[in-house]
Amino acid sequence: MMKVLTVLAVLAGVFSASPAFAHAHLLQAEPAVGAEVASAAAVRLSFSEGVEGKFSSITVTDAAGRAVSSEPARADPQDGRVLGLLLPGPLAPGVYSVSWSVVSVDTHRSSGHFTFTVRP
Amino acid sequence: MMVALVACATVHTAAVMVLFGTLAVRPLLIGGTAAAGFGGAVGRRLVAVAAWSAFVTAVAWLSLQSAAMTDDLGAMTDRETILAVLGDTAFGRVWRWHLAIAGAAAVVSTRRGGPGRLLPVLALLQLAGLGLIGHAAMEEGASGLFQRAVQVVHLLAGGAWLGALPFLWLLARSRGEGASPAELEVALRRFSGFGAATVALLLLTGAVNLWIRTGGRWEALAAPYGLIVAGKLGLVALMMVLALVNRGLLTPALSRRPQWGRRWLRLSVAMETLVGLAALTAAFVLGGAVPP
Repeated sequence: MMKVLTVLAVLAGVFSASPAFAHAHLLQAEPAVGAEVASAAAVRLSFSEGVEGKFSSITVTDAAGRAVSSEPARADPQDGRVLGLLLPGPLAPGVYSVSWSVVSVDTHRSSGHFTFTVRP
Repeated sequence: MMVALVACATVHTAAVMVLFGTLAVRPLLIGGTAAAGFGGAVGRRLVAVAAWSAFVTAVAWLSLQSAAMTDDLGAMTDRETILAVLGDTAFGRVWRWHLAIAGAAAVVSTRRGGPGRLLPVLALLQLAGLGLIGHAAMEEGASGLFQRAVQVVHLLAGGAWLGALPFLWLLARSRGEGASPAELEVALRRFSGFGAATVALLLLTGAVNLWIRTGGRWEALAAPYGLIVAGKLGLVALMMVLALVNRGLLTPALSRRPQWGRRWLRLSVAMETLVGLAALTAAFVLGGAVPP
């Protein structure tokens, strides 16, 4: 009985832990995670495997929580592992938060977030 | 949602395996024997049930996959999302063909005058198509092609073994349309030689698969991924033990104690099938888990 319970617990852990399904990992970001930059015209995220552009998104919000772009994120036609979001005009100085959510080509969802700062 | 997806994938794959296994193995097991006529009613019913189950679960899989991709249960029936999955994703590009093949196989399987020569080809394509999605589809280029090829062979070998078991179970029935004791013994002897070859292929491709997933770093097999791999290997080992019992103990007993032999043979084949289903489930749990 204990063995059955252990197996069930392990299975439950596998199913419930969302990182367990996180197949596409964020390898590189521009602006970099936590970076201080002079300006940013776009956010470009490189993942560990190809992502489905149509089912992936990037949201950039300012310190007040307002989304700075209403454009959808697009997969790079040259490299399926890269997802980009164009930002409108120069960003005002401040802290910006980037939330991403992607579906990898092997159909699994993963998501994450980070911040970068635009210097005054 | 993931539980439903794993369950659906398991049932779908099992159905396709039964379709393929029955069609691939039937001529081998009973070809040239008096039981060849048995390829009629019972075999045909099994094939039709498998083909239609495969089609229905292929549709359900698409629906569940759409929900999983959008993380929204409502997407299961959302026409736009489902069309986007079919039109714009790597999964969809494979699944369009997969659905068409599954539909064709279902229709052909219930055609008057028997399934004919087309159905085995459709069954083969359908099972092979399952090797083109999931982890094996992560990589592009030569390495991706190799991974897909390994996965296809793994599925075909698994299908030839696990998929043939329900037909073997039906053969072992003592009444009605079951095979005669002599026919059953011939079929079992043939199946054991053929089964050994498929098991060898299955283990080889499974090992290559695991090596690819872990990058050759066996120490990376930490829980829970490694634990599920170990569980799956244990289940396959159990299937092999049951297969050996069938061949070494129960087959020779058939001529001496036909009723007793048949009864235990059916039980043993049924258990082998259930253990196989559990192994298949483990495979799809692995498919949803992060390789180390």
